[in-house]
Amino acid sequence: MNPIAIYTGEITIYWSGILIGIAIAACLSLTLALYPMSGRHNAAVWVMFPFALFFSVVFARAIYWYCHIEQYASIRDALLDYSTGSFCIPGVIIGTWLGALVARMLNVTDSAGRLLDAAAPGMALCIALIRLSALFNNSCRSHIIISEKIFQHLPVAVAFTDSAGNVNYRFATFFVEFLLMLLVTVLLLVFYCDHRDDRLRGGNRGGNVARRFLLYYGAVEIIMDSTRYDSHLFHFTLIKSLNPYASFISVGQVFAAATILGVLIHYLHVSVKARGWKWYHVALLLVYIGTLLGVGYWGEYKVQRTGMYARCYIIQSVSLLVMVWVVSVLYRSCRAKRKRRRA
Amino acid sequence: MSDKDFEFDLEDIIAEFNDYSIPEPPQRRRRKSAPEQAPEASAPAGPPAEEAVPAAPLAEEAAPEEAAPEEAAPEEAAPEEAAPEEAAPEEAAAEEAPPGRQEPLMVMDPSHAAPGREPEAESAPEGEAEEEPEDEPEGKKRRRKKKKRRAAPEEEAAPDTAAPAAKAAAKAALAPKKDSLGKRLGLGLLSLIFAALSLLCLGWSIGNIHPETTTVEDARGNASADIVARLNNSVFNSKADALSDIAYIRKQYSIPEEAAVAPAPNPDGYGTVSIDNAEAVLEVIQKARDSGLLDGQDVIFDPNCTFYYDSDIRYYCDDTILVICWKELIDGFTCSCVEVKIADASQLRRKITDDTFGSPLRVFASELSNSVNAVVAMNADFYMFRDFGIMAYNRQLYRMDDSLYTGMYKKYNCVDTCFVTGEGDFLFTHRLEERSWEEMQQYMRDNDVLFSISFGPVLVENRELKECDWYPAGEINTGYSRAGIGQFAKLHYFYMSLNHSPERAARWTVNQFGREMYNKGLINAYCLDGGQTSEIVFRGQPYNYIDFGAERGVSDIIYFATAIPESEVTK
Repeated sequence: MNPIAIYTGEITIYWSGILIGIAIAACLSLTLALYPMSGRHNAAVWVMFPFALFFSVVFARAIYWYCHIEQYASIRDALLDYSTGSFCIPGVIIGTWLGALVARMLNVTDSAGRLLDAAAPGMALCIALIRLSALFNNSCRSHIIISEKIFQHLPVAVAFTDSAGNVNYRFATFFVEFLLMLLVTVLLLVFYCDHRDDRLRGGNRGGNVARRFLLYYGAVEIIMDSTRYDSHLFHFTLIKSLNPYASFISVGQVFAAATILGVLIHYLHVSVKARGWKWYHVALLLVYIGTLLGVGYWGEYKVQRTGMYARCYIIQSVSLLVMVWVVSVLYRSCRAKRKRRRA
Repeated sequence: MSDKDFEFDLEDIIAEFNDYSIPEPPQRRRRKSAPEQAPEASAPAGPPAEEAVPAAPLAEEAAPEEAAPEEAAPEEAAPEEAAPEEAAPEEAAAEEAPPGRQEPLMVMDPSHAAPGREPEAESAPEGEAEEEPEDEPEGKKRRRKKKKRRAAPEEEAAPDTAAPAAKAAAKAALAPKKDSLGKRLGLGLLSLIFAALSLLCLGWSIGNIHPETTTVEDARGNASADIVARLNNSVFNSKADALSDIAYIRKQYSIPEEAAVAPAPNPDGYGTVSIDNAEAVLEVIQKARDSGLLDGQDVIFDPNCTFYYDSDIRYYCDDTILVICWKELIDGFTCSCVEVKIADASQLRRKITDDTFGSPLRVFASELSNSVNAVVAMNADFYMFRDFGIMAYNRQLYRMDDSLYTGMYKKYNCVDTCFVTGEGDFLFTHRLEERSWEEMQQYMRDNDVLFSISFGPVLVENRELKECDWYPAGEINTGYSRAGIGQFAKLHYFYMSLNHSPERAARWTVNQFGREMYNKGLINAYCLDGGQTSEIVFRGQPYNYIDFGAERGVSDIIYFATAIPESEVTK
């Protein structure tokens, strides 16, 4: 498919650009629809949006530049010329968070957490549509070759033609991620409707939906990034001796793992603060460490080394689900009691 | 249950009836939810008809008692409630109240909250905890409870007079705040401004954010078109065709430098020979010699060497290329060897992923090999895994970072670099050799450099064995899988990889590996990336046993291709 949608001589509009525009608009619309449910004025969303978009583009680009530093003469080139190269999704999350902080600093909202809660389902939808846009720019890349004819179509596989004209079918990484992020959007919408007012013991109400988004996004991203053959990898410019060990570690995966860990630490901290150390805190931490081994060693390392996709990805998926469960249990343990509303 | 259990007090019943004379839909629903209690409540059929009327309210009253746990059920059954929870402290008053939202003020009595249970603020009001006289008849107890329940909403509706002033203050704080008109106008204006800004941002995004639609560098930009050479070849081959009935004239073929894909090899040129019949390969070699491809050169392949028992010998031969692959046991280790003789230097090529320097793609060597129609391919330096050394591709210098690496080494000169020239020869630059970017470009022009490989170290140079004690790449002093490429004669190359085998792990230092390469009689030899990266791809499939039994995604390969155009193969 031709990636160009509109060409007028001076202006070139790509299909992927249109899809990304739709993704951003969908995110904005969903946030505008959800935020008033917390009894607040939508002005905060309008104020947050341009800042979030600006920071998202800057950070997504900066992370891409860091991962592909040799492609640009300087970071300035990477940040000012968008005609080439790509972006990194983690930058979008950082950017949105900063946008909410700016809105809070400008005093148009009383809680950045509440604002992020309303934005979380929209962000999931936005990421889903961004992933869908990859179908239009031939960047839906997976190193898993699908050889079974029965699976050689969407949503499992996508056709890929190499320079010699050979057609092979690869696992449709981005399309599957699109579907998973759609599911995450639905889960977050349900969670937002049911639990947006949940308050942690000794903590504020806001931010739990956003944390839930980070949790789900992290779990999806870790496994989907693993199937890509164009992951953005670490490289160190200061501690060069780390490069031989870091050059096969994906920035996206590390960011995703960090988001899950961050959410876990937050809930653990609140729970321990409210209840003190209990046996189940230790048990949950041990389970979490076990899942780390499953995700990192038995999943990621083994799949890179041995190429046994089915086995490694099953282990990785199960470990990630358990990881999500651990964080969810911790969340429940530190949630204050909900009061029954009178009719 | 006997009739005595119901000590009917007519006045009470009538009063009760009056209370319930106005139907309340929720209560009706509740009665449906507890059908079993209704017959039981109306069981005393003895009383007169007017007395039977209150039976319904009685049933209604019986139902809420049963329905009370059901009220709690949705929350009890919710997954979030299943977690171990302890009694919540009295935090309600301090709870954050969102503006514009009216939250019911609920002050929870800690004495009612039991671990693992929801506080029964609604179904169990405070008065319920009063002690009841033990000898009180059951019927009276029920009536008393009924009265309490009826009284409870009234109590709730009218705040406890004894409640502290803080409660009132908290309630006031929880009351919806009405924004002033000015504030609402301000927020509206702010929304309008930022909405316009948002639309602008959205428009900009559509026009500018289109990842992966174009590549950063076109790696084919500097490839030489060399039209004159192509024309010469064409004229020469026409002559050869014209004189083919009189004499055999070997045609001249070359692959254009800028071509992204080489001609597809002739499937008839491939062959496989058992190691027990290794002598058969000599016939193929003789055929290549007869066609003039070998230019009178010897070959490295020795049919009398010790082959790895579980292997075969594979070859490809046409007028422009001879390839032989075999597995040899050296000191008990399995070495996979490839000998290649090509007719034209353009048949020795390098492929990087996406044909773009710096591409993040990591593709299996077999896929890269298939994508360029390689006869045989091998791993190169995996240039994207590390950022030091000198990287040149298609006559263009891409990487030469003169920042400090370690000690006196700079990033570009901390390793030896192998340059492949337009004549198909290997040139080396060595560690610590100082050059500027411009000097390196000049060096490349002077020596007609096509591309470079940066791993190393140099193993053999001008038929001299080179030993090395320290090197920043390849863990040279530990036993490891190794790979290296060397030049045996003009346009005659040898590649060897030492890998794990099912029986034995690979354990050679770089110096040991260098000695074995030297023993093959090479003029020049250079170490490539080893470990799981080292791989030979023959006819699109891995030939050697790769460490861990699986291919690893790489960023580049070196490959040899036939130069005979597909149109002539078809002929």
